[in-house]
Amino acid sequence: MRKILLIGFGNEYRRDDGLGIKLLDLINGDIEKIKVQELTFDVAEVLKDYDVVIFIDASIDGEEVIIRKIEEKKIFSPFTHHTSCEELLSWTRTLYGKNPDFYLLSLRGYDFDFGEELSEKAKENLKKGLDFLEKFLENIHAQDI
Amino acid sequence: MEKKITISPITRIEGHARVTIHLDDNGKVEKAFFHVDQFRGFEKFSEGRHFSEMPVITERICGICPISHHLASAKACDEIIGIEIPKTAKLLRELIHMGQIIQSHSMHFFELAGPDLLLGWDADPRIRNVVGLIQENPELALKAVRLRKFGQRIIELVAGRRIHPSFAIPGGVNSSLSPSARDEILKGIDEMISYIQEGIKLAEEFIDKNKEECGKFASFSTGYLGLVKDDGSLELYDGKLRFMDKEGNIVREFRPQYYLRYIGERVEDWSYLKFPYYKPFGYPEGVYRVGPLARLNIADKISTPIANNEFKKFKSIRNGKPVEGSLYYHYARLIETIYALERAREILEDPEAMSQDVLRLGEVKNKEGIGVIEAPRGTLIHHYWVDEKGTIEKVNLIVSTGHNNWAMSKAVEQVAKAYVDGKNLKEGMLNRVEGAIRCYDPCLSCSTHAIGKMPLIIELYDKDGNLISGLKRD
Repeated sequence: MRKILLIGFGNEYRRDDGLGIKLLDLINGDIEKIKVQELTFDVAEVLKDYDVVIFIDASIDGEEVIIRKIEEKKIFSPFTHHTSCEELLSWTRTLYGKNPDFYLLSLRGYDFDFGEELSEKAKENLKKGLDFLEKFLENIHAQDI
Repeated sequence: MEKKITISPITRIEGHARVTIHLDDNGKVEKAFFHVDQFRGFEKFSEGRHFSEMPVITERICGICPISHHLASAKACDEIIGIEIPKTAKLLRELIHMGQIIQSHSMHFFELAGPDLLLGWDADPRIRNVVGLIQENPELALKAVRLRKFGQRIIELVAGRRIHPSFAIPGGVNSSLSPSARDEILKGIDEMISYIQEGIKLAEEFIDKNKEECGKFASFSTGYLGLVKDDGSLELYDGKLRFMDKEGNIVREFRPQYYLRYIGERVEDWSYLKFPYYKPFGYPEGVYRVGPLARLNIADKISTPIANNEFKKFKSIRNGKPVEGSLYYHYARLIETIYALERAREILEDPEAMSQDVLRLGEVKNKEGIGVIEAPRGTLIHHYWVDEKGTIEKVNLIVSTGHNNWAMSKAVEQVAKAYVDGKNLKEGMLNRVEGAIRCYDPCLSCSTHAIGKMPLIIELYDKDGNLISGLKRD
């Protein structure tokens, strides 16, 4: 069985930005989960011990629910403390010699103002995201059997 | 014809920064600005909440230094209930603050400053990044990860969670320290100090090789502001505010509660972020800097031995006069990290750190509370006004990046004028401009993050707003 980790990130006090964190709360069962406000490079130290890592985040545009496999990119974020999923993959590969499968599940958000409530459309996307993620996880488990 | 270069990280939420460089007809830099948006939204968002919620609410302002907001907020709340918190609570709050300093400073030095210093301003951007750094020195990169993890671990062991703890509450903290947590932290301190000493060696080598550049790069006169202990030594958690003028004279020391008497905020029409200044000197004469460089400039000494030895070297750079070059922020950051590690050990070796006396409960006694702390990037001020029930009526936050606003813009302009040639634009020129900002480690991704949306856009416009050239780096 492949070892799976879910990482939800975002700021729950910026309304739809908290979609990733909220989805994580809805996932039940024996699966490892962590929440962060931002991704930082030290997270690679955790990721190295997993086979599949699924990042869950809000997005400002694009489809309501979309998943993509992360390809390594040597991105340098010169102004920000935030580390991208692509950078984290580089860290994990280069520093620890590990090569987990990274996926980014993005849920479309619409309102990123200050506040705790999701927008109505984001609530719908949260449900769709939950359905999608449960099926995605089932599929991974099915492949392992 | 005036041309404009814009360096603008595209984010999904306002509140970030961009650089504009205005060129004259000859392609020379005429002026340059660093524009930042403000966190006023968070202040409004807090109105109507109960003050006791503030330490948990405000730590969401920042994903990198939540502990700084958590603690500044708790200190403001202590004032509202008019309580002197138990010594143990103070020690434990300071301990997680040291964890915050360790993790934040080490991340900045190794991830953001490291590629510039170790690989060079003009290195190919495809390798001038953390991965290039790992390939150049994998051992160092591993140590950087361990250092940040160690800082996070202090927070986790003491406060229960490494991200967004609810540890500090009005009147103290909500749990005492376990012997196993104390022992685990103590066990790791010497090793972490040795890692930082390696970083200091690298910084010193860079300074030796680039003495002239370090002296000139984004180097200018300002005042300096920060906390010091009663004896004038470096202080990060408590103490009095000290203001030093550009000549290095200490012109005022005051209790943080009086900050409004001495700190004014100027509005400029080209930035959403205000420009704090020392009121008695007016604006712009009273502009000042905060953060690691400022703190070492204003301090007379450091109370821990290893950091103090490094501090003496720092002070010798300008024979005791204020060190003005922005690149020295990186060096100062490492010296402070050693202090944070040594101070963590002092706290843990203090028998009072293990006491169970960690909380004094109280009701609303004062309608105002002010909490000031030295966050990794500089002085952080939380000021709350409440009604008799403790409901927040108004909030004023002055964050470290705000204090340094004028200095960052000045740094950008000075470096742009020295290095950018609009007729022969090269990536390394613009990297130096970015590097000037990186010295200050501004918190630009506070409040949210920007997945896949943080490319660097550099655009040249004519003065009519027509795009004439552009560069993008992912």
